[in-house]
Amino acid sequence: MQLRWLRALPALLLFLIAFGGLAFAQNEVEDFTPLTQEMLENPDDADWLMWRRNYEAWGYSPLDQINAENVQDLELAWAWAMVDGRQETTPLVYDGVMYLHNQGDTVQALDAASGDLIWEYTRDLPGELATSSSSILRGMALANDKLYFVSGDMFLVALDPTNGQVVFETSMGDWEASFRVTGGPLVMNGVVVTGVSGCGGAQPGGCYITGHDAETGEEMWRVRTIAEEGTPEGDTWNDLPYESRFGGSAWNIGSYDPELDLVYWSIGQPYPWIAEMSGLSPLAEGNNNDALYTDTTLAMRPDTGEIVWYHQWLKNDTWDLDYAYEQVLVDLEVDGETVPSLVAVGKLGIVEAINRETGEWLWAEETVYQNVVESIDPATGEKTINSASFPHIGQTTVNCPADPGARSWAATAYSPLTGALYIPMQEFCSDTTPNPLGEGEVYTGGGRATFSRRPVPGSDGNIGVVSAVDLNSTDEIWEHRMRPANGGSAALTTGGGLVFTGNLGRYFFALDDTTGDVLWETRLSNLPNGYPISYAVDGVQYIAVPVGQGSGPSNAFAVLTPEIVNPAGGSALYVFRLRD
Amino acid sequence: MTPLHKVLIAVLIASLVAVLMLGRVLAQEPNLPPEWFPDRAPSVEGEAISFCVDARQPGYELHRALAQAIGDILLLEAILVDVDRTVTTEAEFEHLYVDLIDRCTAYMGFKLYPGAYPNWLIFTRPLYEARFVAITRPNGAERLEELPPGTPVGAVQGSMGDIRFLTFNNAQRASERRQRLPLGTPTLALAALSDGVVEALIIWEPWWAALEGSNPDYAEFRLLDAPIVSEPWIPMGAALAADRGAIQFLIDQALAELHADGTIAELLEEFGFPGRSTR
Repeated sequence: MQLRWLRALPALLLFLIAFGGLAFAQNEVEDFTPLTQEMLENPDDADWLMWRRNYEAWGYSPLDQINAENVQDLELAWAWAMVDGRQETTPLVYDGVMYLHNQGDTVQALDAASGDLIWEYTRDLPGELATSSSSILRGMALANDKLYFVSGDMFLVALDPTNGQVVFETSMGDWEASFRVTGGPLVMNGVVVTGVSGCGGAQPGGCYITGHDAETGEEMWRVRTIAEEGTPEGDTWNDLPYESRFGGSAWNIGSYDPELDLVYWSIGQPYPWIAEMSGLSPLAEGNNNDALYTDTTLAMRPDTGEIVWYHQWLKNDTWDLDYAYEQVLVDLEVDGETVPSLVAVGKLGIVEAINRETGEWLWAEETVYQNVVESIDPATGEKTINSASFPHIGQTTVNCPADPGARSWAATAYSPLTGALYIPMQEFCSDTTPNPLGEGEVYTGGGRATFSRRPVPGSDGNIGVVSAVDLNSTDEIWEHRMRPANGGSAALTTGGGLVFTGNLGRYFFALDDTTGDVLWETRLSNLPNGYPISYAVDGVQYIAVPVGQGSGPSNAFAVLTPEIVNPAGGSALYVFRLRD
Repeated sequence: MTPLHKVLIAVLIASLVAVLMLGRVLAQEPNLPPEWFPDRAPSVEGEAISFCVDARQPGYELHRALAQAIGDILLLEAILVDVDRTVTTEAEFEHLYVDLIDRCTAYMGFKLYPGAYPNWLIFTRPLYEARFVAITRPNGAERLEELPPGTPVGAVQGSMGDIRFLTFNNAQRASERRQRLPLGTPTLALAALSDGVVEALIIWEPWWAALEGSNPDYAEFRLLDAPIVSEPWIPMGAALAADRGAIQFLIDQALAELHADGTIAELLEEFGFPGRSTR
């Protein structure tokens, strides 16, 4: 009798292992409390619910357990190998659960304290998309009882955050026409707002921003990023018809002011970049070639998409030096008055502020070396362009920064403790030579030029820079210089007086937010790439940073420091906490 | 076996050794994750040579036949690898890099523009030459220069034909210029001509030949005399990774022979392809 029982034991063990594993991998999040609008507007200190944590896009966590006095005691809490491929991700954390987007549209829910997998969802993508940059995403969004992301095949997908089951999916566009979403959604008051990019497929009329019903997925509105013909804004394309207007990718995620009920989204450059090819130059007599709404911030009503005001940062952008990044909302002291402001930093590395209620321009502060903008009118913000930097067919011209930008998609972070904005950047230039491309016109992307990147004139050999700018005095208060470029590592500020960011040398480090001193650093398995966050579970503060290769800019920066060689693959998430 | 074949086989063996020893040290090559290289198969195996052929190009069938002919004359099996992408993205050069490392030795069908490509690419001698042309709806004009100032003239944006036209056009006094309209793709450009958005169109002649039958309205389009965009003709070659100079030499030798013996001219005629041999 006993022997017969023992003979059945291996089968029983196999059964327990197999089904125990399945149950473990597809567990459920327990006691999930739906996220109200109030919770999104005033997130719990422990949580990180959206791309830059708050609607104001600060990238700031008020947690202060980790601070300048003890940051050197950080140690690895857990790590997680991500899906093979690239990533530019932002983990979200709600009530002790981390939601992580991976290449190929794999979304995972992890126990944020232990790193244990709770559930995993993988989308069945067309073959060429699963490994392409179309299936990486910078941010997801949590709202009510749903987790939102946009897939590589251009579906707005709502998952049940408790188990990863699809609640709805809605097509947002044609991925075969190259449209894609690189940023992600932002949800407010029952509307999912998303910016579409990928205008390199040469589709006339540019990209678009959409508003979808957060409960049903139904599209409520769509705003084209290239202004329509026949409107004052549409008559800014040098008399080009709609069929000849390209560009305007909405690369990143916007921000939202609940009080003004305005959502702010910034748009990228015209295509192709070289204005003599796009037809924006030379300027035809009696025309305007500003090319709205490229390089422009739109202030829109989230329920209708109505454009309330817009501000164009750079007209007729022929260098790929756009401003299509986070829009930081802060209230600033300007001439003795408190002004609701929107602060943006474009690829030029120039910090600019506008009134977020009216769009009125306020001020600008330069950071790293640039030679494109000769001067800025202190009253209007109108930029005078250095004509020597303007690319011409048949010539090689020099523009600083180079096309990947002094800053790229790696976001800045603001600290309410110091009133400063912290900007991860790099200094470099490009010898730019417009070139015909296209064996049979296969390549229809933005470039159409050879960009030979090199250090700035008189470079001290340091390519990477972290700059801190006081947004009230507009002064740069410190600058941290480093040999490796920043690459793709966003900044994170914390209530502990720290600024976390990384660089192409695989270093992830913490700076003192008032002095810029390096207080802690560690070297990881690949470059910090994406958006570090901070959160807390059961009273313990954590710092999480994704690493791995991202999109093109990382490679462009690497040319400047050939001695730095990073692994070609190996995306992962590292999570740190203080030693017990 | 002819003396040429003996030389070619010796060079092939030497090149295989060189490839094995040198690895893939290419200046400023894209830094791509290993997951982009799923096959990891050597692209030259024994007595075979592989060619990527791209169905997104108008010369797809011709390129297959040319690749086969190159393999035949080298006494190598020509492995034809269909590029499996349907969409063009801004990462196209990164995909090309992967193709040339992972899937094929040579990628057929590149316009040979000096200085226009990354330095991790090298190119063969021309497979053939083709040209840009100007086409129009019947409007009485015989020559591109006869179109009145202000006439909307379309071109596939950024193409050599476009650049030649805009360089010519921008050199005119403003009052004498035609209105140049950049258009997204050959398909969109032909639709713009058909819809009357443009009066004339600068287009790569192989695209015109490939798409002419796609819409009955296009049958009325006809060629304009336009040497400012057509001359000189554009040589088309195949791309290889920069460390494959020895194989480039082999293919160049084969192409010299295929041009000289009339094979390429015959293939151009057989496929009705608007190109010419560089014999």
